[in-house]
Amino acid sequence: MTIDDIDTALSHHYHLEHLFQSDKSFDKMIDATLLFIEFDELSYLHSYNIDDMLAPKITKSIKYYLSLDSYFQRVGDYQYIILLQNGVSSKELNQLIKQISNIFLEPISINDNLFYLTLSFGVSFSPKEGTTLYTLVKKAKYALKSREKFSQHSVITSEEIFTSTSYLKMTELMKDLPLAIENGEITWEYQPQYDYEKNAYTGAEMLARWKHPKYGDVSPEIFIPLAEETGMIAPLTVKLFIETSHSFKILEKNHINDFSLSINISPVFLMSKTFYTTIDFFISEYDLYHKKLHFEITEQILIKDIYLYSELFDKLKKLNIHIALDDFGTGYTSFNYLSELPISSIKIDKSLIKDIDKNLKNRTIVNAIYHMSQALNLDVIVEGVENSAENSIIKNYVSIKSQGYYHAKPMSLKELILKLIP
Amino acid sequence: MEKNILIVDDVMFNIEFEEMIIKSLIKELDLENIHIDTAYTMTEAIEKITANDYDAMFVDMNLPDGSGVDVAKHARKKSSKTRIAALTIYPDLYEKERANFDLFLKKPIMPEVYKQNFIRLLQL
Repeated sequence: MTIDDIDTALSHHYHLEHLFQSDKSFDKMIDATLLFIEFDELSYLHSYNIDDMLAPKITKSIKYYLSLDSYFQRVGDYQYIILLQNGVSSKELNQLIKQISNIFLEPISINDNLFYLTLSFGVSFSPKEGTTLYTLVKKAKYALKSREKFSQHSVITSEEIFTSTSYLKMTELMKDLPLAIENGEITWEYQPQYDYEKNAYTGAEMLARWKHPKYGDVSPEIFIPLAEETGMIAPLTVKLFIETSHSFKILEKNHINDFSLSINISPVFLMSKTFYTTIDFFISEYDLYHKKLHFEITEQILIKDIYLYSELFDKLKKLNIHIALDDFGTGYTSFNYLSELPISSIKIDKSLIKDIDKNLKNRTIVNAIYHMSQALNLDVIVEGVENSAENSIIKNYVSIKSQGYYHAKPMSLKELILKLIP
Repeated sequence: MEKNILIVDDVMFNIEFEEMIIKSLIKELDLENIHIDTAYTMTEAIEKITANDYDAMFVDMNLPDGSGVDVAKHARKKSSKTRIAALTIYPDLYEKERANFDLFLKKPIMPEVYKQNFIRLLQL
């Protein structure tokens, strides 16, 4: 659970604990704003204790922008808090966040090495969200952690401040999630994949949607991580399997055969003990062996434990499951790995496709990925083709497939069938 | 060994899912003579319990026309030997009904967990 995580993490904050005990003036705070700043760890420099070397420079640069009555403290590795007292307007807060963000657009130099730092902010307000330093830190940190999950951007802009007001919402969503899975509040949409060569849609990716009775549409970027944290990802995937087998049956009834359905497999579920037995159960009992079932697995997990997965992937291949590497091009996967693992296709991330007609650098990368994939006999699907300019570039590649708004938006199964039947 | 089982759930997919799990377990353990009966509502379940004898039941707590607790009470009244599992998303809510059930199974159902509990419930 996230709150426990925060607690655990907080207990490591030696400075902060000391602060709680020693400074009584922080006991009650009214009209204060707490800004929690966390820098992304420079993990590739783990052994050098680089954080301690950076800290004095970070402190000096940030302090420059702070008024005398604000309190600034390093509270852990790569973590800092700023306490702004006596009422700060949101304009002033935004201004400060912008100033601090701007500092780190430039690299920091240590021993002639340049370090580019990325950072995130979490904000909490007193008395609205608590009156003790402890509570404010906890909530600001929660806001930051939630924010990280919601977006890839590590630097938050002033318009995007994510406050802990969402704390309550998250607690509620967490409570409602099992019911939503069970009662069918969570459904799936189908985004067709277009095959240029065949001039037809040959598959679709299933995308989870949650219509919450109180909050409306909840983004999968919120509820998938929530499911992963609360042990609900396995039940959610089980529901997805039931839905998938049902969809295959309906497609078949409509004489749509030879059509692939791709589903996203969470690394959390993939790593769990029940993963393989659950998959095995569905493939045999729901008669999925002869269906074109594709698992989309994010490229990121391969960076860590590639060899851990090779055995599992082999077993999945024996169940006739095609494995597609998702978000390809955003991580650091080596092509060596691809040749060693039983992977059938890669999905090139939409960030590389955006403006590909204008962005020469991305075009070069996509070109390289494409040719390597051809050499390795891997299918290539590009994601995020949104306009005709992007499409005009992509369609030139032989035997490539495309998934994006230009060809088709995500849709219901009924709409998909209507699209597929000539 | 012959066993009669009743599955009570208002969602067709759930019943189908439970049947699949049981069938898979029958294959795995090479079991014989396990008969599965199903009911979609409280009324249908009570009718079936009146007419037939069941060794074990998997009862969803949230039925369209009533509670699974009433199904369990009815079954218990008929035979104290019937083993009953409650299926619910929130087992805590049924804490005081514990006496009416032999075990609580948390929803959404996971195949492995269901199989384990099936073995426990039927004392296989």
